[in-house]
Amino acid sequence: MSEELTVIGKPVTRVDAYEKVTGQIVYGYDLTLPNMLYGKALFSPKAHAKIKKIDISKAKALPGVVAVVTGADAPWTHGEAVKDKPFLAHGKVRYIGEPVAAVAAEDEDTAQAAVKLIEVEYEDLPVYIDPEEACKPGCVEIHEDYDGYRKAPFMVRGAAPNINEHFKLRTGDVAKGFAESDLILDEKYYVPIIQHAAMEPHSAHAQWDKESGRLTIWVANDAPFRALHEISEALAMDKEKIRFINPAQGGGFGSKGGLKCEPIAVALAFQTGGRPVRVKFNREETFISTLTRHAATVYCKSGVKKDGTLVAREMTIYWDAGAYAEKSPTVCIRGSLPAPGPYRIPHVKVDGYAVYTNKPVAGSYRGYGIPQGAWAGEQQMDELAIKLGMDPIDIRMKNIFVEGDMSYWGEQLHAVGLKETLIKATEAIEYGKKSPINKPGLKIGKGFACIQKPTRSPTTSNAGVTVNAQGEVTVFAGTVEIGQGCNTILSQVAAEELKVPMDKVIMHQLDTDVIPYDASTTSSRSTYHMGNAVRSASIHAREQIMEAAAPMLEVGVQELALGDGKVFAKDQPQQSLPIGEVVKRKLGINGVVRGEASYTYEIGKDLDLETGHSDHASAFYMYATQAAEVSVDEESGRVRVLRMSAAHDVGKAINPLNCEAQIEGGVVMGIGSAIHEELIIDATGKVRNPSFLDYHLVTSLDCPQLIPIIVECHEPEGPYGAKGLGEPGLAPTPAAIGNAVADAIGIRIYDLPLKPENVFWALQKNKKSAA
Amino acid sequence: MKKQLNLNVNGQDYEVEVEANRLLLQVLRDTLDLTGTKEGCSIGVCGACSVILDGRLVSSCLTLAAGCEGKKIETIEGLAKDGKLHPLQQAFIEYGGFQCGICTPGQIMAAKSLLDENPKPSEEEVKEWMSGNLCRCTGYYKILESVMAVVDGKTDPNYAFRKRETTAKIQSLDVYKSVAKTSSD
Amino acid sequence: MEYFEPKSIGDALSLLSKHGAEAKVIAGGTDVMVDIKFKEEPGALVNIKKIPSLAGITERGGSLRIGALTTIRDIETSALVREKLPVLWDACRQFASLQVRNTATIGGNICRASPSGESLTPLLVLEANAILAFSDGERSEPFKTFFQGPGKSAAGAKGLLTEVDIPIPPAGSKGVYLKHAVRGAMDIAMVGVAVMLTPDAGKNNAQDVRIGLGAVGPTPLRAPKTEALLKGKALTAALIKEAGALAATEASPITDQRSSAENRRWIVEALTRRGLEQTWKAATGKEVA
Repeated sequence: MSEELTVIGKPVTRVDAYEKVTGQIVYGYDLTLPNMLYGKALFSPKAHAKIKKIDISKAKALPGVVAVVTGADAPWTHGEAVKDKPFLAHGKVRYIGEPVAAVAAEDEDTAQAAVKLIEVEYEDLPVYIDPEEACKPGCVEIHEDYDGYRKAPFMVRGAAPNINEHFKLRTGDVAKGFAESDLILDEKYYVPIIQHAAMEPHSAHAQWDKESGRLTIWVANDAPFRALHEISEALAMDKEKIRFINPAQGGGFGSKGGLKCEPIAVALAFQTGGRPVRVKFNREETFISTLTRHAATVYCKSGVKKDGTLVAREMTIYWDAGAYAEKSPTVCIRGSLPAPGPYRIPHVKVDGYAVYTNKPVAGSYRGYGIPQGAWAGEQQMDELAIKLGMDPIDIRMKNIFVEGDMSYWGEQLHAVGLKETLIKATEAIEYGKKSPINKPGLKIGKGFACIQKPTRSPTTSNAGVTVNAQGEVTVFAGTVEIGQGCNTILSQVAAEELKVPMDKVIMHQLDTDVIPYDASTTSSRSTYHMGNAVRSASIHAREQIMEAAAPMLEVGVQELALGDGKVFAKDQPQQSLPIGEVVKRKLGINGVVRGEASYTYEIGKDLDLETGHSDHASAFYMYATQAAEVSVDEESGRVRVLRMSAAHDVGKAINPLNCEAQIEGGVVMGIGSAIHEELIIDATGKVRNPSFLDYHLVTSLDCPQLIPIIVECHEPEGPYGAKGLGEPGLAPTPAAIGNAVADAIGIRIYDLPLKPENVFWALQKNKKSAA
Repeated sequence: MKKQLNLNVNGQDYEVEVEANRLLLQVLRDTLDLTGTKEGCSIGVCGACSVILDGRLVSSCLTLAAGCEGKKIETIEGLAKDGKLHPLQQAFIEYGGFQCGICTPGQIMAAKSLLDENPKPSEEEVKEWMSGNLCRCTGYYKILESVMAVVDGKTDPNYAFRKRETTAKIQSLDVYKSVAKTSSD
Repeated sequence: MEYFEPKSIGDALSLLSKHGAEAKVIAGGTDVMVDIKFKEEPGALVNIKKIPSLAGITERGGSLRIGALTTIRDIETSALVREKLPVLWDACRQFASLQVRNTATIGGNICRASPSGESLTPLLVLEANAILAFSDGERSEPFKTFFQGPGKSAAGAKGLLTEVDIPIPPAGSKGVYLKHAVRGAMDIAMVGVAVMLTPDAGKNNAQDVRIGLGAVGPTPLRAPKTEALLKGKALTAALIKEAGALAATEASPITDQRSSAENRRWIVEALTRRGLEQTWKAATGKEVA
């Protein structure tokens, strides 16, 4: 349709607003099912140990206890890329926090009391905390049966112990590149483990109906179809026998895909005579037993010419996978591949290793490996510029990807709005201009960072759109509303294509019995993939309505148009019918027009396992630049972010208000990861700060002035030109702040977080070496 | 040890019998089914469980239910009156002051307790007052904007957010399996 | 768990002597409820919130008396406290969140006897006394000896803190509480420093200086050597630098997940210096020369 857009591009308010501001909406952990039991798990207190004996007799005898299960009752394993994770520990434990046994009881207190009565005898095994240590020759394999596990075909097993994935990127000849360089920098960077800390802790409900053989799982999971697939594979159960229903989800950021509470709930549900079981983790359990973001050690070596031209970049990245593979192999691949940054570099070598350790499981996290690579690469860009006496903007401008560039992974790039983001973000904080703030003991600095982010590809989204005789539109989409606003975006798409008011569009609840397949709500893929699917399904429905309306209005289909919920003749707009009326006349009062569509972005060749090359690694790329102004207290080392701009190439802002919201949220989450967030794990594998008291989320008082900037570089394949936006707000934030801190104090800090004590010691060390 | 309690929640009296160690949060959510009040951290840090107790903002996850007898308890469920949203609720919608929504009831109750005491706070006062309400999604800016919109009288006076009709939960239950359940797993 | 709501101090004391170590006193409950949930449930919970007249702030004969059940928020918003005891006011406003300040009581914060407890170092430098009730009578205990270790105090298992008696410092005395934490709100202090300075009549010298150090020892501490160094002198940059360094030696911090001991000493040094600068300026109108 060539008509003007009516709701696309408008800052419409969210469709889930009323239920959320009134507290009526029911989240996963709010859900109470009739006759429900309460499940609680026993978590391993050992980071690596054999289980010698489990005695559940006392727990079973406690009045009110209905079921007690251990690994013996749940002999199944699951995992997205590697089937390495037992529902409940099988014979050994691999991290502190691993579920070992579980109880279902009439109430939560009884379940908890029973858990305490379970006796387990362990025999200690060596504990590996550092991934570089864990892959040294002679180390014990944390997964001694690794070679026997079922694995995804793209995986490359490393040569050393405990490596579950070795990603290789080989372009040109780095040795030659370094030989031709005028300046070479080689540094080691570190990014610690952090956690998603979605405000709603994890929970899952499960019910097993023996008669029908059906297993129903209610869970706020952001990839219900994949979870269904994993459960079905693990239990060798027909997919049609399994049903996932999504209550509302209170945040995710990558933590709620995969299986967390689900296996525990399922293991219990088989033993309760058909009664549903709820397994609800508290905050501490969520910290130790769900998911974390990979710590990464990044070795980064760059060679440049005197004029700032990048010649070679070599990176070796150790991704700390924790005790199970989860999404480590794909984080390793998709985080390592673009780690050298959004630059033209002739000679590139990257080795990414995902390594098992005896720590909580690491997996997907908003940004999917990009923040770790950017922390190293973007700080090194600044250091190169400073050493060359160049402006950090100029060195990037010289090398930055532009339209049509050939990337170092062999893909020609299009829709590259990076340059504009760089200009706009740096202008917004007056980069290069000295701050007027002048307070003794307080240093002010500015810095910025650029990123590129691919999306998981290829993937599929299906959608259905119905129009009933009342003119109401229902969208059947498997994208999960996790807070990001997808229900609003997808409603806008349907409203646009069917030209109905927004309040005529309803998103159907996500239920795998009803909703067609969608890959996942991850990787910033939904607006693009599901947006395309809903758009096509809406068009499919629209075409049926137009065809039905043509004889009713006695004009040809070509002469018809839609507007304000009506079909009308283009040259005689007064000759019109409400779309509901068309449906009614055609199909009766209970009639429904059904549109459906499937969208898959076909990539070209798969990634070459030896070179990491692909002529199409991602459906689209997101580009962003963020710039920060910070103050550093020279005595305490405390960093404060004063203002931060964030310019993002979104392709097309389907909802500018929501774009801003995504950017702001990502930036502030990134600030936490830059200046104080870190999951502290001691040498025994124990998390020392599993609470919101000592794991420091940003508060309203730490929040700087935010300047979100939307850049629209039309993506031809995206719906209305749109790309994704969920993740990139976080990704360049730590690197931008790191560059700003270095600008403020003249000292480069290579390890995150930039918490007061770490900055303090950097300042002290510098004082000493100066003296 | 069970205890008989009379609680006044949002102007309504409830008689409940609960264990002496029960928290106000548990009684609201589990006994009275008022799940609008959320649990985020269980230790009084995140503010998701904020309710107003005799005019004061408290963390209901740290408040013993037994101690609330005879006090007035206000929760998010009591804010909209006669189908009309409280100005703060409206502002949070208009200015995008929420995303996932878990912290939202607590944020709104915190803002309400502030405006009850001081209808014209400065931005700094709002930030300070609400610093015990953590949010992981929004980055706080739009929350601040929402509260300031009420302070500055910038909300739309003609705003009528209709509760979305759900009549269209139609005869769809087996409609969409017809689309191929492609899997790229 | 048994639950009691005594209506008088006498009733509370007899419950405490009856249940002994099994009993736990609860006031605001912001600490106790967390323990009950995640550590151990006591045999008996004695909720003293319903005992009348244990809350309130009154001025009496050169002292402010603050009832044990007075909330931190009531102290923070008391004009009397802000005027007469600025160091205590300053600490109370930096105490956890509003939600917690509305619930937590000063008695609870004191009896918790955590080295990082926000109100504790101000009470030390104010040379306040705890009024304790026992079954055999009432006694006044200076806070200097009241705190005996993390979670341990002179109230023991059978005593009840009823009031805090705070001598009002001389007019012209100024105080600040400086807190070192990771973020802007909702944090436990890695280091807390309370400084109170009273100038002489001509505002030329520090007639009295008191320094309290929090989270750097098993109990909140005073820094007597540092105080002695400063007494009677005009504060200069060189002097406060020396004072900061000396205060750091008077701290005995440990290393934990929040901070290393060594870093805590450095912060003590910096905050002592800043506290002295600020109180000197407030008390004399002059910058530290």
